[in-house]
Amino acid sequence: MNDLTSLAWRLVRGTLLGLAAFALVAHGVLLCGGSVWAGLLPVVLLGALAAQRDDGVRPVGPPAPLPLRAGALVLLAVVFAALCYGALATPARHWDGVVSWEMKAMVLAAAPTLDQPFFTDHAVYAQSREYPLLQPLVQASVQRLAGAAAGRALFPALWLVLVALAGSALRRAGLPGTHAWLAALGIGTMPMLVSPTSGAVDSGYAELAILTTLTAAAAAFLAKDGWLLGACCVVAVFLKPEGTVYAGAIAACAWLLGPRRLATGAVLGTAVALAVWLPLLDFLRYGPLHAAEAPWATRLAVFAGGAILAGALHERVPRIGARAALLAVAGATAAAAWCLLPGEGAGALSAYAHNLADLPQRAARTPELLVAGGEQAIAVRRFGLLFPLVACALWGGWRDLDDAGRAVAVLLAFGWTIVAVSMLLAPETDFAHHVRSSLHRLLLQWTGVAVVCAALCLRPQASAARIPSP
Amino acid sequence: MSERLLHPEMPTPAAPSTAPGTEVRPAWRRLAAALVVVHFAIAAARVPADVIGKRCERVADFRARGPIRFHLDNEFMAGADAVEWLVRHASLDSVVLHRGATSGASELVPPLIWPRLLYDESWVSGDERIPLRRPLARGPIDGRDAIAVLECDPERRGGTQALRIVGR
Repeated sequence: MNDLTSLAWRLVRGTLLGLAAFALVAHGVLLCGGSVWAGLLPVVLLGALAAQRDDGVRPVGPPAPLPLRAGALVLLAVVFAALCYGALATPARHWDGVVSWEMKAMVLAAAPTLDQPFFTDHAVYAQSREYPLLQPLVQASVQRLAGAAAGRALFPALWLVLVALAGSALRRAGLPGTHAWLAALGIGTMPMLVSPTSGAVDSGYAELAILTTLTAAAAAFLAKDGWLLGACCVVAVFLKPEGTVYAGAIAACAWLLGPRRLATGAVLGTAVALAVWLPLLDFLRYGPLHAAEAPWATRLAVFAGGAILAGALHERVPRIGARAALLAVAGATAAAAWCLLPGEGAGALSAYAHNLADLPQRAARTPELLVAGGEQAIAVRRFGLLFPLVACALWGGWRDLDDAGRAVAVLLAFGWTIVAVSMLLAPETDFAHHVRSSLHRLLLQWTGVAVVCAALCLRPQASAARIPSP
Repeated sequence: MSERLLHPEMPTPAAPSTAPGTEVRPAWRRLAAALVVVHFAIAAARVPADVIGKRCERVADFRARGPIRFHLDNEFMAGADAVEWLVRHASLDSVVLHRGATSGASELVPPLIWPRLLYDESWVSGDERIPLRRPLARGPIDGRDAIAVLECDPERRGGTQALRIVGR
């Protein structure tokens, strides 16, 4: 069982690092006007997996009882079979999966370059043109190598990574086997994730990939793994527009509460990813002419400078309060910069950012949002009893959390805050409809972190252990 | 499943106590254990009908009706006939002109007609400019061969949004 935990951890860690490397290289190639080589994904993934070494961390505490392990395996196997069937039987069947994600996968499978009308001619209908391209690129790469159905195998494969990630991370963090198995089972059978609905594993949405990435970030905090945390920030930026905000939240959390290697990894990962992504975003939004006006080398220099400054400040500002104050100033500066950016309304993230100035008026929607949030918290057909469980666990177990556990809890708080603020800032005029159609999907993205957080709070104190630093 | 399952190594009252300030709080742990049990009962109960049953139904429906009817023939969207016309008559490398609403049913058209491209008609000045150096989608419309334009009604919440082919 120890070997299984170690193997699962190396597989998921290698997968995340490989995806981050692929994201950087592939988007860099697209930015330079090139075509992404079909073999790039397997080469990078296999390279990252091969580079994983046993770090000697072994689970402590008792293993889970055999009946629990057997029952969990059977249930997970049944769910996995259903997800494989749903993913492979047909193309995407749910809205965003069809119109946005899988459409781009088809386009990139036919020609893995941005030098084609779908991306360059704005008269061609392209939904969510400015969305990041990591998921379509991965799906297209597999599709080009092994066919369309194989491309959709990405989704159940990601579900496997998610389940293995939750279990192995908690086991390595010193939790008993029972906690790890229940956490893996909990995230693997989350009703909204496995039901045939929008945002589910086989719906083709990017919620699963973001959920896996954020769960990996929580795992990186537990393992004090700066490389993994940096990879999570990179992957988040290249998955969805809100991924940029999430990467910022991860970096802020690491800078505020984590050791230096975590802060360095997260800040650098976010900076490097944004240095590649933002010029590409300009290209997608405005076309090649505008992109040429924003030389990426300048942005790279700005982000590198920011990362170096953040690292230096982290070293010199030991007190959490002072760090929080600096973080607040940096956040306010960034928000002001976003609001002053040209191109109002162009692009998903900037459309939200430009509404920041209206936040005081929009705060009047808070009661409506709280009611909607309360409804989601007890929506058992979507989240089971996860939210009451997290509330109960945090209420009772917060004080017993170690530093890494507190970082995970704070990350979860950051995540839920971002979700709430994004609801208030939404450009849609029909607020009630927007909340109904989006809130549950944004909350789904943070369920992995919530499961990890609940498991940490429920850690029996007698067996609480600290894992050695890698 | 009981609290003992969640915490098999939880110290008994006779066992040495844990560090000061970290003593077990039975009430919230018992509540948490109960929530875990009910949560998994809900999750497991949903597997047969929801995870498997509904998924199989949707897949069967998709296969029986085909992607175009599955997406565009329902109480909210009526566009399957128009898109099937395009797939039947427009060559694979053609450009399909589009006018009207861009949200709603129009969003589903590009993946259903791919590799044909949907193109905003307002960007085409007259008949002389051929977008992207590709042929325009055309076919028999009202008894004559004509360039086809896909027209989309505005989106109305609760109403039906229609797509139709008109001649240009």
